[in-house]
Amino acid sequence: MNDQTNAWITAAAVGLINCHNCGLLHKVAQAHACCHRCGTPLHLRKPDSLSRTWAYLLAAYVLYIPANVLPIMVTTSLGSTQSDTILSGVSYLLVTGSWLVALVIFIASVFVPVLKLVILTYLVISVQMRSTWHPRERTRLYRLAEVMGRWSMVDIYVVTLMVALVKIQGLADIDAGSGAVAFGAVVVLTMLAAMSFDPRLIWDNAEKNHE
Amino acid sequence: MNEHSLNEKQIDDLPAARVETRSGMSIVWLIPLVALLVGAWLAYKTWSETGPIITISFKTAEGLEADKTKIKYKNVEIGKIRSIELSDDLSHVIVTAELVRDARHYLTESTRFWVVRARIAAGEVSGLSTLLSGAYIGIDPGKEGDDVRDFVGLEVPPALVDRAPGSHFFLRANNLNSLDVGSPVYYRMIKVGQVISYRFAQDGQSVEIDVFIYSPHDKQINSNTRFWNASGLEMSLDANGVHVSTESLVTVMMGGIAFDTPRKSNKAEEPVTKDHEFILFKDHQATLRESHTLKFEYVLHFSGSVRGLSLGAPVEFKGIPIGEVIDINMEFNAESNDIMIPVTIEVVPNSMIFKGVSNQMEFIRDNHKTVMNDLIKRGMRAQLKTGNYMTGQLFVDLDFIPDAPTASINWRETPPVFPTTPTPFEEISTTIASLVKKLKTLPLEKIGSQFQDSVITLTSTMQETERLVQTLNTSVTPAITATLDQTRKTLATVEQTIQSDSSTQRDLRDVFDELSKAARSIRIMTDYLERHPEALIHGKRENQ
Repeated sequence: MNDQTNAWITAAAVGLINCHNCGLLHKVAQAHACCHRCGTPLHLRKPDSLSRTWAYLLAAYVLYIPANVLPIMVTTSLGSTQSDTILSGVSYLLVTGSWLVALVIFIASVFVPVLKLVILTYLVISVQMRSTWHPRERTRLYRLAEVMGRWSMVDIYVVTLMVALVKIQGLADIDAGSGAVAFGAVVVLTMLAAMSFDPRLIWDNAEKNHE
Repeated sequence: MNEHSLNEKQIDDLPAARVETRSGMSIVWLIPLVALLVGAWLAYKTWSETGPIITISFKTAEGLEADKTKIKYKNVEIGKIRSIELSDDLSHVIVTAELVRDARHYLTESTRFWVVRARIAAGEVSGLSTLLSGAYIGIDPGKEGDDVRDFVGLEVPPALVDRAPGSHFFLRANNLNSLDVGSPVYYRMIKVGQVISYRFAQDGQSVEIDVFIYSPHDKQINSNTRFWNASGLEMSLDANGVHVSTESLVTVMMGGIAFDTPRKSNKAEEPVTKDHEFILFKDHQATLRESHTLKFEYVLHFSGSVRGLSLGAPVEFKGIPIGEVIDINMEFNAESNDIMIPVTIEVVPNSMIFKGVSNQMEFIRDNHKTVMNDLIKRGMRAQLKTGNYMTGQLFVDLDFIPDAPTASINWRETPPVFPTTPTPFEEISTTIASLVKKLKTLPLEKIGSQFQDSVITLTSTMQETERLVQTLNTSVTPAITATLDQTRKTLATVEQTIQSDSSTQRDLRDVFDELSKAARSIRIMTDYLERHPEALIHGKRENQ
């Protein structure tokens, strides 16, 4: 593999630990140590990173189903009620010819969350399997997942704006459906999952493998 | 020595981290648990709100729209159409609809669906609100029967949807007349029900009509109840004149049914079941006829024309209707080579009151023949009479003909033949006919020529007379004038003679005086002679 990797020294390798808040450098002690100066718990790596990520991912998976099945937007106009799920909205836009908008919505609301879930799941599994395969690329995947995750909130923003703007009594009324709540939760959970995942674990495996 | 550069000593001097023990399950696992609970709750909520999916087939999807058209009961939305598709054979449309969950108990065989559109029928305007909101599907939920999910929609809204208390009854009629679903049913001119449905009987020979009578009026109906068609304007022309009757103005427009239960009926009143079959009479008159139970039929043979005699014409006895004509035929008798017109009548003796009889019906049945034979012997005959000179309608009159030739009822025939007598009108016409025949035999031409001759003769006579008058004028008139003059003179003389101061007059007066004197003398003498008859011998004596 990459020979240079081994040449670089990490803080962990020399038995040092850094306080997240005040930056004070400590010697590695037992687990559950706290900062000598500010009392912040010290961690060599993000604590329970894998299990937390798993928890958030599982929750996101669970909520992803109602997010897609339940309507996210209930439109009432002239007495007729119409409720749209994410996919029915996309297909409606596609059928009516606005394929560009449909593409944006599809990418932001379907493609990105799914991709993010898949990437994080792969990363977690690969770390658990102590994989040493392409750590640099996997780190890049992680960065991608972290960066694009927030963009899937576009849908929620649209629904929120519509609900707030379109309130014409009797003529037209838009309400957020329960799917919107689930979808928002999915997005938040994937963001939390991305945050709780420690990408250093990818490299730890790579190092151990070389020792 | 750089302060910030690390060396071995400095690293050793770095403070050791404090140790706090922490153990147990990570709290982060609550999150997927909560997510699971939320997911499960959402799933349950969605599942619990999802109602049954049903299909309804209609002839047309006019006014229906997928995802728009609603299903309403009592104007409450209980479902929505999901899709509209054509059936495989293109004969109808299949509407797939989703209902609210609560409706699943009512999706049985007796549940009915129909499309509510604006429509004007059966005397009422309905569904006007659908002009703005668009059509919707109405439902009449029913709990009877098995659960089904595939329905056949009604093409016309059912007349009865609100599950009002009441009873269904079953009528049979010859034809539907102007009845329709929703046509009213009247009892004493008050609307108490309506026609629910109608259909052909199995054999296609009659029409079966279902009516619904609202509670409590349905209690008025028992086995004696008579239903009749009160449709439209009923006009009849019979021997009694012109009849116009109608139940109400609504029935004139759209028809209706009326019923009544005769109170004084010979039959016992019995409650009826749903399957009891009532006859729908064609009018009220027909129900009255039907309520008589004991009838006798007779055949009448009339020699004259029966023009003006219609079916249903009354049979009267001394002006009281006791029956009616039920059949008029024409018969050819091959033996006698004769054409007969048998008129069948129906006599209902029930309208009579029998004095001194305990059981009227039995009495009539037992003594019918003897009584009738006796009546015939006393001269009872049937004859046609004109009931109405305006219309020329005839009726059959039973009456005693004083000097009728003897006759009797022929009981061997079925129905028995009742003796008849020619109509007075018939007699008159016969007489007139013979008169006309005699008139025809008169030698009118001869008479005419003779008359012409006479006229010629008369003319010459007249001419002669004229000549005579002229002669008279010229010759006789002067003579007559002279004679008249003479006469006048004579009369004047006579006048002079008999004038009071004329001598003749005076002489006459003297004569009368003398005569009266003489008469007096005679009277004196007779008086004297009466008293002194001896004077005739002795002569008059001197005063004694």
